[in-house]
Amino acid sequence: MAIKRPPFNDISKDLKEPMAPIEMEDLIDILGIDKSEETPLEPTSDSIKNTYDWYLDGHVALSNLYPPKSKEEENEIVKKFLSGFEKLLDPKNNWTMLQILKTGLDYCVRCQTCSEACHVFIASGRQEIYRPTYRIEILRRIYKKYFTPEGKLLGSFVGADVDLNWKTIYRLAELAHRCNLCRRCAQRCPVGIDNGYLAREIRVLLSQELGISPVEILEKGSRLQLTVGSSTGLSPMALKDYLEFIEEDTYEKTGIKIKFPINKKGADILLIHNAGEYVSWYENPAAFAILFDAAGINWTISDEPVGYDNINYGLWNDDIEAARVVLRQAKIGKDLGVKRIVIGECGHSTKAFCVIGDRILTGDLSSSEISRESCLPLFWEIYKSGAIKFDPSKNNFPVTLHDPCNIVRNMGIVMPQRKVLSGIAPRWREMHPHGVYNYCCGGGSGFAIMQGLNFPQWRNKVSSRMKLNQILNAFKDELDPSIPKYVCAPCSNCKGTIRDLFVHYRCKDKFNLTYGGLVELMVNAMVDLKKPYITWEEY
Amino acid sequence: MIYFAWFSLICFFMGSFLKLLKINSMPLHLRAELYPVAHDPKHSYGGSYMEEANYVQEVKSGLKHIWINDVIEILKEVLFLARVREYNIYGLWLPSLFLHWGLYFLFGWIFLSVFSVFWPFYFLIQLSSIFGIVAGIFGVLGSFILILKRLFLQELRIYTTPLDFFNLFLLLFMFLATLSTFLFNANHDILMYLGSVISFRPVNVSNFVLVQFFLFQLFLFYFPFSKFMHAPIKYWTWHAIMWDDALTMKGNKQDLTLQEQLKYKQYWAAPHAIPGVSWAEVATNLKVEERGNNNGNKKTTL
Repeated sequence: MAIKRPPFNDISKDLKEPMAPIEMEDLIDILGIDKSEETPLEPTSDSIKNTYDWYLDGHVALSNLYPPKSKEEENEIVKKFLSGFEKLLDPKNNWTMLQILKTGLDYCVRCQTCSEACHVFIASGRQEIYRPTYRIEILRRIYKKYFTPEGKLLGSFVGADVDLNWKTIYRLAELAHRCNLCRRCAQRCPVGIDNGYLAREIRVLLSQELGISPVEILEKGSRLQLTVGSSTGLSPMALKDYLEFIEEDTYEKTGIKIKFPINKKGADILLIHNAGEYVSWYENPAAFAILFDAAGINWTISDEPVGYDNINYGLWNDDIEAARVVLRQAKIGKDLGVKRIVIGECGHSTKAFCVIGDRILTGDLSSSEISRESCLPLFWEIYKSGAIKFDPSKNNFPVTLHDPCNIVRNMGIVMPQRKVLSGIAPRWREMHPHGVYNYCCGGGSGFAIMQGLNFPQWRNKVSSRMKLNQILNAFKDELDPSIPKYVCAPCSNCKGTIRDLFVHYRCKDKFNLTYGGLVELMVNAMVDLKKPYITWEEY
Repeated sequence: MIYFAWFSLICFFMGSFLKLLKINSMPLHLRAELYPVAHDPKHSYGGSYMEEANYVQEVKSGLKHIWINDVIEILKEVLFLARVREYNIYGLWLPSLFLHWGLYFLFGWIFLSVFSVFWPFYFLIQLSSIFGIVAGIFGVLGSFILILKRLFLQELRIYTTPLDFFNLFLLLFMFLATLSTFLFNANHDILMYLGSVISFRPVNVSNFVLVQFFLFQLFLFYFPFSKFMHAPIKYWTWHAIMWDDALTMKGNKQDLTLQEQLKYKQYWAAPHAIPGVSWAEVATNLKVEERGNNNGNKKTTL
C-alpha cells in the first residue's frame, strides 16, 4: 500500500502522471469479495488522456471541461475564477453561505480530526488528495494569496503559496467532485468547520461564475428541468403516458386499481416524486398510490413542469438554480391550494425543498403557510393510524436500512423509518454506523447521476466502497445466495448508486442482494395484497 | 511596557469584539444545521422536529428547546476537547488539552494576581502561584509536543505553515517565560509589575518578569488577528450555523430579514445567471427559452 501525498503546488504543475492514481492494492477490503475477483481497474483511456486534464487521479468527473486552447483562454479562466472568488466573499453575492465560508477559511486549525470520518478518504487507503481538508487547504491558500492582506504581504509564510493557473482551477474542480458533501466530517470538527459545505462553495463559484458544472447536474439537470419540466426529459405529456402505463401494470401485477390524481385542487397533500422513479423504478410511485389510497389520504400529483419532478440539483452546486426550483415547486403547491407538500423517497430534494427552501421562500410561501415534508414521517403516521393492516411475515427476509445523508444527518429524520420497519420487517437490522452517523452511499452530491467518461469506475471503486462493505457486514451471517436480502434505501439517488454498485460487484449472483424503497416494503406487507409486491427480479 | 500592557489589553478586547461583530453581522445564511442538534429534545439520537408529520403545526404551537444542552455541548469541547479525544488519530488530544488548560490557568493566574495586588492575602498569592506554575508546565508540555507532532507527522506537517509554527513557538516561549518566573522566584516582581500597570507608575522588576509579560502582552495583542480566535468562533460555527434549525414563519423577524436579503443585487456571470438583478428576480426568471408547455420565464412572486 502506498499513500501518495502530493504537495499542494502539484495541482498547478505540468504533470506526466496523475497526482494520486487509484490502485487496487490501496483500496480497503470488502467483506465477501476478494480483490482478485473484482472487476479490474480500467486504465485511463487514450481518448480521455488526449482530451481532458486527467492528472488528479486518472478519472474525470467533468466531461464537458476541455483544456483551454490559447493563452488568452487560460488567462480568461483565471480572471473569471478570481472574479467568482471575490463574489463568493461578498455578503450580497453570497449571503446564502458567507458565514460558513468565512469561518471555515479563517479558523480551521488543521488538526485533521475530521479525516477519519470520510468514507472516500478511508476507502481509498487514506490517499491525501481525498482528505476532507486537502481541497479546502488549496482553496484557502488561493484565498490567502489573493484576498488577504497578510497573504499579499507575507506570502508563503502564511501559506499563500499555491500558484493559480487553469490547471489549478480544473483540478480543484475535479477535487470538489471527489466529495459527496455528506458532511460527516463536519460532525467531528472541534471548531465547527464544515469542509463539506466548503467543497460545495468551490462548486458554487465554478457553476455560478464560470458555468463549470458536471453536464448531468446543470445542462442536463436543472437546466433541462426548468426547460422541459424534468431532468429525465419527461415532458408533461410523456408523464401522462407513464402514469397510464403504471396504472395498468399495477393492476395486472396486483389486481389493485390505482388512479393517479392529477392537479386535484384542494387536496390535503401534493406528492412530488423524483421523476427518475417514474422512469426507472415505477413500482415506487405505484406503491405510494396503493398506500395512500388504502389509508384514505386526499392527495394529488401535479403535471406542471418542475411540479412532477422534485429534484433540485442546485443543492449541490448552485444557489441560483436551487432558488428557481424551490420557488416553482412551492408556487405549484400554493396554486393547487394543498395543505402540505410531501416529497417522495428522495433525499437531496427533501433537504432542498424543506431545509434550503425554508430560507428562500418567504411571506405567503414560507414554511408556516405551506408545509413541506419528507414522506417518511407520513409513513409512520399511516402505520400507527391502523388504517391499513400489515402482515410482517410477508417481509420475512433479511432487511437492512440505509440512511440517506440528506434526510437523516441533515434533517434529523431518524426514527419514523425505523419504527415502520420494526412493524413490518421482522428480520431487519441496522448497518454500522447508522442514523446520523451513517456513511453516504457514495452517490451523494450528484455522483449517482454522473455517468460520463470513467467517473462511474471511481464511484464504484472508491466512494461507494465503504457502503457496500457496510451492507455486506449487516448481512454477514446470511450472505448465502439462497437467502434473498433487501437493502431498504428510501432515496432515489442512493438507489441509483446501490443499483450500479450491485451490478459492478455482481451482488445479485453472489449474495442475492436486492434494493428498494421503504414504501415497497410497506405495500409488500399489506394484508389486502394477494401477491408479493417485491419481485426479486434482476435490476 | 506599561503602555504596551494597556494597548495589548485594548487590542485583545476591542479587536476580538470587532472581529466577532463582523462575523455576527454577516447575512442570515441558508439553513445548514447538522444533526445531532444539541438543543433538540431528540438530541440523544440526532432526531429533529421534522420527524413529525405536519411538523409545521408543532412549530407554530411552540417547540421545546433544551438550551442548556447547547452550553453543555460547547463546554465539553472547550474543557475536554471531546471530539479531538474521540476522533483524532494523530495523538493531538493530550498535547492540545495541555495547551488549552495551560491557557486557562494562565488567564486564571493573571486574574488572581491582579486580585492579589489589591488584596495581598497569603492564600490568594499562593493560589495564583499554583495557577502560574500549572499554566507553565501544561503550556510548555502542550506547545512543545504539538510542535514535534507538526514537525514529524507528515499528515500534519504539509498543512502546517510557518505562521502556525510561529504561533506555537510564541506559546512555547510565553509558557517557558511563565515557568521561569517561578523557577527564579520572581513572584513578588509579578505583583509589582501588575501594580505598576494598574497605577501607571514604572517600577524595576526582574528580566524574567519583563520577558514573561512582554510575551503575554504580545499574545493578547496578536490574538484577534490570529487563528487563536478559533476559540470564540465556536459560538457561531456551532450555535449560529450547525444548530440553527429555526423555521421561517410568515411575518416573523427571520422572514423579514430574508425578504430584505432577497433584494440584494447579485452579479454572478455564468450563462444561466442574470448579473445585476436581485436574488428575488433571478429566482423568478428561469432564463430558459419559452416553450409550448412549460413555465419558462414565467414570473412568480416571492
